Amino acid sequence: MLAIRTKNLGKEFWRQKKASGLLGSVRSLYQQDKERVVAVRSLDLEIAAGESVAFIGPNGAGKSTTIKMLTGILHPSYGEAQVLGLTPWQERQRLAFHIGTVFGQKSQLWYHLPPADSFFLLGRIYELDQRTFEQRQAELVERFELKEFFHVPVRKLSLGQRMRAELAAALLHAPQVLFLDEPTIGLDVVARQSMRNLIKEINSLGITVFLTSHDTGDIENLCRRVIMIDNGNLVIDQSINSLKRDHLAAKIIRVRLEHPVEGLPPIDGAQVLKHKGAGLKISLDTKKLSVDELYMRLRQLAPIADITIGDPPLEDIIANIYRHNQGGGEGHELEQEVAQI
Amino acid sequence: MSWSKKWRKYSAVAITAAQSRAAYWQEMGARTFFFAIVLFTFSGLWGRIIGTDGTLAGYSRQQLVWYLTLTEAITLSATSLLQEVEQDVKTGQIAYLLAKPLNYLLYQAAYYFGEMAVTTSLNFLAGGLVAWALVGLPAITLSGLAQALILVVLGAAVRFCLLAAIALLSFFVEESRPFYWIYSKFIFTLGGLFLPIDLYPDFFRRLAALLPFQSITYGPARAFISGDWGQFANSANMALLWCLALTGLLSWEFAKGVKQINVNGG
Repeated sequence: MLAIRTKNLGKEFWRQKKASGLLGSVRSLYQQDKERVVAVRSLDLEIAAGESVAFIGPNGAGKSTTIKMLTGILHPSYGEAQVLGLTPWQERQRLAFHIGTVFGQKSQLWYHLPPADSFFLLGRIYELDQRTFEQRQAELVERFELKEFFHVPVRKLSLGQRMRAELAAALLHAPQVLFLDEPTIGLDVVARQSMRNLIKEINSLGITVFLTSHDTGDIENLCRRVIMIDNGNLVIDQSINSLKRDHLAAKIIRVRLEHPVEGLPPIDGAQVLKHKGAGLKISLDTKKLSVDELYMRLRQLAPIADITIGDPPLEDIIANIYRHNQGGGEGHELEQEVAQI
Repeated sequence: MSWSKKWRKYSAVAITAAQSRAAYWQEMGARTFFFAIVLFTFSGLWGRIIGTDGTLAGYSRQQLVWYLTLTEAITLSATSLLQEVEQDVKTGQIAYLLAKPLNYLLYQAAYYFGEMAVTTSLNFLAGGLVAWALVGLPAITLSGLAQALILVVLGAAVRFCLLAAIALLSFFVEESRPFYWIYSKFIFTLGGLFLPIDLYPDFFRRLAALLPFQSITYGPARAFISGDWGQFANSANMALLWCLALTGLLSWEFAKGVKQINVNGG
């Protein structure tokens, strides 16, 4: 069963332009220049119920616009979308009962009140009867370990505690799809790990997770599939493993030789990233040179004491794809039409 | 949706807003201090103008002080409505509230009434104690109290519509504060904040009687000190009429604003 499906979904906006300086300000009083901005272009998506998907892209790529269309806040300019079988912008209120949202930079908890009060309010907003509310609240307090600070005003909580409470609050009405936007932003390593574990746990219960994050750790740890958009276009829709396979022509090789070597002869396909005494860090382009060939070439320099072969971080892969798209082809350019009104 | 569920939902918003507002007790303390100074000053002023036993257009010094106590209690019970809505619109937070099973305007109205209930009651309690100390208790009737209470609620509804309409201007203009400034000056003058509008020159009295501002301050305070049923009926009708008209305006403005998000982006 599909949780989210979009077909040819697109959104265009008009954005006002103003020339700089005083003259520009005066001119804008009687003549307004507007440009058409394509925020999302013909997006086709199919996300199965229970999937965990990372929806990524550089700033201004169209992620928020897509989420707003999927939650019914924005009407698309064209195309179709179904979330849990409902058309979001036509049945926004009905859909709202079945989706949850966590926005790392926007809180749904009341700042001066303890989480318990916000939970009470959310229980009423989502029209839970008293028994269901109490049962759900008790489950979430236990699962998310909120007990020690459940009655402490939110302003006195650490960011990690607040985000745990935010996530639990988003689940109070037992949503089937959870939209997460930068859920770990600003968290320390321990709190981030704890949030990730909780999100994994939520997903294992069958809740579809739609994650937007710039943190590749979140993407790698939480999602099996990655959807990337850039300038409103779908750039990538594949599993994280195949993304790595397809875009990982490079390997990072760390070598420790038996004795230090002075300088290295240039090797086609291998780029020395770091060299200190007997230690080497090499980026290997496996399309040009195999690991075995590199090993043999290194052995000619000195016996090898230790070697590790790794993939470059996902962050580098994603950054490369972003850069490649920005360099971009015709289809990736922002379509703008200037109209004078 | 059933009415009881709707009532439970929005009453919970009001209760939560009231609880949250109570956290700002330092701010409320400062307002109360300012309130006491205003009452003290005006009590002295009217004492000078009309004497302890004289009257001004039929109002005694005691009545004028208690009139001011209620109008100031209402005016000083500023809520965070303007900032909340303005922030929601400017930061895009409105989009996230729209993703909940809520009517945004009803949500804001419930929020406003929750905050108002706390601030107006506390202001009136504190101001009442000062007024009592300055001029003694007025001859208030139970019907005058009931009339004032009803008109305070109706006036608060009119005030909500006006403030929300100003705040929603953020959809269309960069800064809605200047409009709030104009509104607050109208409350000072045509709302009869310091003096009952009966004391105004004829033209201004008639003008003020037709505008919504007097429903917010003059109507409830006048009922409180006079308890006159005829006057109450006039004030209530006017407040209801303005509520209806402004609700229409507010809904239209909100629909236009939301459309604006769709045209110009979130």
